[in-house]
Amino acid sequence: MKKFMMFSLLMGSLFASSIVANVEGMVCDFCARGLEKVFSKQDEVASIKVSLEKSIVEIYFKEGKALDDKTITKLILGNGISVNSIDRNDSK
Amino acid sequence: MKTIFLMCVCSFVLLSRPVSYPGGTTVMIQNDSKQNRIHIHYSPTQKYSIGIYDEYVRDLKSHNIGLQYNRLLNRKNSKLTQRNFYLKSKLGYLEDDIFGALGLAFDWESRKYFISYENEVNVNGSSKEFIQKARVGIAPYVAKYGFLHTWIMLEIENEAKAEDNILVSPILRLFKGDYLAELGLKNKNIIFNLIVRF
Repeated sequence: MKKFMMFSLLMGSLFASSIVANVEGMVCDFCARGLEKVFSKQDEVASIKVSLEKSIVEIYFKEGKALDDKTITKLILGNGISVNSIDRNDSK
Repeated sequence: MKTIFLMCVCSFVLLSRPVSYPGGTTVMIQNDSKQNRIHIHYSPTQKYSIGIYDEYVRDLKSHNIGLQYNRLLNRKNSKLTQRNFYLKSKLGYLEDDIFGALGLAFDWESRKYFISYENEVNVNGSSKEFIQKARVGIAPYVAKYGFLHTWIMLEIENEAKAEDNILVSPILRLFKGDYLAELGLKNKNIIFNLIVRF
């Protein structure tokens, strides 16, 4: 059962077409620009949209590609921004 | 002479966070009545930056050129705010002497309010100087990401050995995307600062 749940989570992660990360500490354009630049360098990422008002980062993936939550969290934390949660919008 | 120099050169920049995003390069230019300064730094991680600086001191017609290392000591994020502590250090050379500086910086900001404090001890030969600066700022409107941000700031500078040892400077900060510019007035002279991030 545990293996099945992990498999489902992994598959869901891989086929996600976009995610919304709820973040903390993103208070200025420099913070947001840093996130844009770091995620834009990732092969899996098609585009990124940042909202300072809502403190969210939306990441859209290329077809059939995705980043898992661990990688996303690591990249956001690497920019000095904290991650509260990641919500996935699966395409399949 | 050294004292004059130190009072001039230690107009350290209190512009923005001294560390960028991982892999980011920042160019910081500061101009006021005392000096022209350029500092270019690179951040391998968001924890520290390494860079070079060149300060031209108008009174002495002399350059202080050296290396600068900044380190993020602590950061606390909340939904709407960010607070940071930094260590800043410089090692340079001017007027046939080694120049060294060490300081601590603090900032707290939301999208509406800004507070910062910074101090620095300078040593050049046998001369020492201690200065400190503080800033408060308010954004008259809260702009969306990618739009023009405007800040009205007040900076208070204290140089222990200076004749006017407390200077109060009004500053207008304009900020859009990778560009941050400041226009202000210090001791009846114009301040112009610029930061560009790549």
